[in-house]
Amino acid sequence: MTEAELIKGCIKKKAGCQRLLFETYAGKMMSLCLRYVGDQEAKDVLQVGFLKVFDYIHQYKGEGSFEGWMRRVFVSIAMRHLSKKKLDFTDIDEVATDISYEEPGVIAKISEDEIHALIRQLPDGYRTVFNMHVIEGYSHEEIAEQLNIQPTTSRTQLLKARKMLQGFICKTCNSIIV
Amino acid sequence: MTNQSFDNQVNQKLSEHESPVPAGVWEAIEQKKKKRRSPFFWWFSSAGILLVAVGIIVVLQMQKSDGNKVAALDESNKQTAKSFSGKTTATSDQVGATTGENNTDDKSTAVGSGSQAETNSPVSIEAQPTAVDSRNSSSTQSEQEISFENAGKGKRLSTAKSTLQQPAKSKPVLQENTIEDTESLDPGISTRNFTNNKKTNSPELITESHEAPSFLQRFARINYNEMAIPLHGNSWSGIAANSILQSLALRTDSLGIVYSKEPLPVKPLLNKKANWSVDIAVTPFMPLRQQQELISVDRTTTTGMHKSEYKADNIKTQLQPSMAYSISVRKKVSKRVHIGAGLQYGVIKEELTLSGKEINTEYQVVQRLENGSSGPFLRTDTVAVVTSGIRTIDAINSYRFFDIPLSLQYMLMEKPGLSLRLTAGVNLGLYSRYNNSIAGELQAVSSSGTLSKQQSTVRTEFFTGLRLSRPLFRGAEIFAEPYLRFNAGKYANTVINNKSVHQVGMGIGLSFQLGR
Repeated sequence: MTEAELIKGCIKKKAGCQRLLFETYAGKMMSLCLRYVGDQEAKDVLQVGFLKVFDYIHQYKGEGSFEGWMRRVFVSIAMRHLSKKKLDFTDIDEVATDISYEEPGVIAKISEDEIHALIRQLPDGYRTVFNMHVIEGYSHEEIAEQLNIQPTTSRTQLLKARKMLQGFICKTCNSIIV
Repeated sequence: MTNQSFDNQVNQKLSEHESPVPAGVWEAIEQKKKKRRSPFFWWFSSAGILLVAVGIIVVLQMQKSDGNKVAALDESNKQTAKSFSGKTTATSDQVGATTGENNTDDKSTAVGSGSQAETNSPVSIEAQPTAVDSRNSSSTQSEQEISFENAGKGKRLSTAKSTLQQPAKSKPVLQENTIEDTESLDPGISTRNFTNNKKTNSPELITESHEAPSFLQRFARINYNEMAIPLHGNSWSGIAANSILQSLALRTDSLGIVYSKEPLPVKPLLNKKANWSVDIAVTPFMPLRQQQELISVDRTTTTGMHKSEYKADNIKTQLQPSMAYSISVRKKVSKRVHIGAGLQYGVIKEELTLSGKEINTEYQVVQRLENGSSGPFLRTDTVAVVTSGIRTIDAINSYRFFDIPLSLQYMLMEKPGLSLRLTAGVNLGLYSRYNNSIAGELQAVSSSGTLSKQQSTVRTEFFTGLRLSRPLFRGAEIFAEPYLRFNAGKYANTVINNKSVHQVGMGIGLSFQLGR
């Protein structure tokens, strides 16, 4: 079954197609959810997200990838969950690193799961902005609008998040090297 | 390593990353899907039941109406078969002598003297109850029943055959009304004979010169059933049935404005056109009214040699379930608020029955031979034939309206596949005067005086409703919206005479999102 047929079946509310859609994208969407919220919340976001996708899939116009559309739906729902608790966008003390991050092959040395886990260690504000900008591709203006912050705050949070993540990665690489 | 390079590498690493999915997520999703169906199901089930109920009521009322008409026709046919008998009296008022050199000697020559002459034989007077409105041949009303009763002192003066003009296919009910009896009412002038029977075209003179005392009185009961004609093939033309009815009701509807489904939770996916939606709705509704009771409905018709006066003081009206149709556009101005405007067309129907006394006066000019001092001469007289009876008119008044609903919608609740919005606004309506298949005009009279015959009026109403909607297919959704429309204005001196009409209804329709 092609993706178009799968989408068409979901629009017609066919249970089999919905189940297949879930099985196809559940892993990736779970990964997305875990990058924004905690374990238990991620499960809730995953459920609500698929329900939203099933209800609004008829609004998918075929422009852009379907997976990209789904990611935006899930990010939107994750934002709602995050909005329930006050996100802290204040600066956090920089993490000291004793290894230079100028080595291009550093990231290649760690796995996807490790990077995923490191991102989840970032503070809420850093993590949210980093995920939205670097992974999902939102602009700072879009992030600012969704998080109700200034674009400059988004840029600052991204810089801090990136630097902190690089520090985490360096630490991880050092431990691997050792 | 630049920030961009770092970001790209992280993006590549995580774009295809998958995490293990906790057990039971799919089962939980399925359960939630079933749960969410409940409110929507019950809401639309209620709407459907209401719609079916309204439909049944409409059908039953139509059947009932048809049944009454059939019964009326049957009744009229039975009574017709009994023959028409009744007392008729004729009044002959002398207008003036037209011949004879001795007319000045005649005691009856004074114009307007009101002297009475007896209708000695041979007298031939045609009573034509249909003549008044013969011009209204296109009317669909039917006169179904005519019966005559004695109105005099119980003394039979004449036998009559009456004919109503009717199409060839119609069953003859009455034939001809010819006075055959020559018995004199006034022995003192019984020697006068009609030697000529001639109609003139001078109604004004006759009308002013003579007050027709009721010599001949016939009590006729006439039913007009406007819808009965096509059903039974009896199409009586020409009955003076300018019916009328009074005012009516008006209503409005549903308001069609509406709301749009919540866009995807992701703003970047929406384009500007997607903020616009078009709604199409069908709205069954029940008009409710506040009414200043009518005292009477009057009609006076003068045509040629005929004058008809009708005064209905027994008036019964009943508003019927009605339908409206609307199309509207609306725009999403914020996450929860939509504004809209549209156009709505509808018809409010009112079933009514008028019953009252009708007096028909037919003037005829005759010449009679009299003996003068110098010999016999011809004298011209005017004879008035007065018939009276109870006329019952059944009719359905239809009031058309065009509304421009201006609405504001606020989203109260939004869940996947379901949203609830509060709608409120103002309705600008143009209402036309009643229309029914009975030609003519009746003048309604209330305690505040005679009511207006204005052809149209503009009114403002307020409405509020709750719209529940859910997606139907791509870019479309179905909605049900119970609503209340309230009119705070008075209708005195307007087309909707003496009535203030509100309405309760259920708008059901489709909403299409533009720009998809």
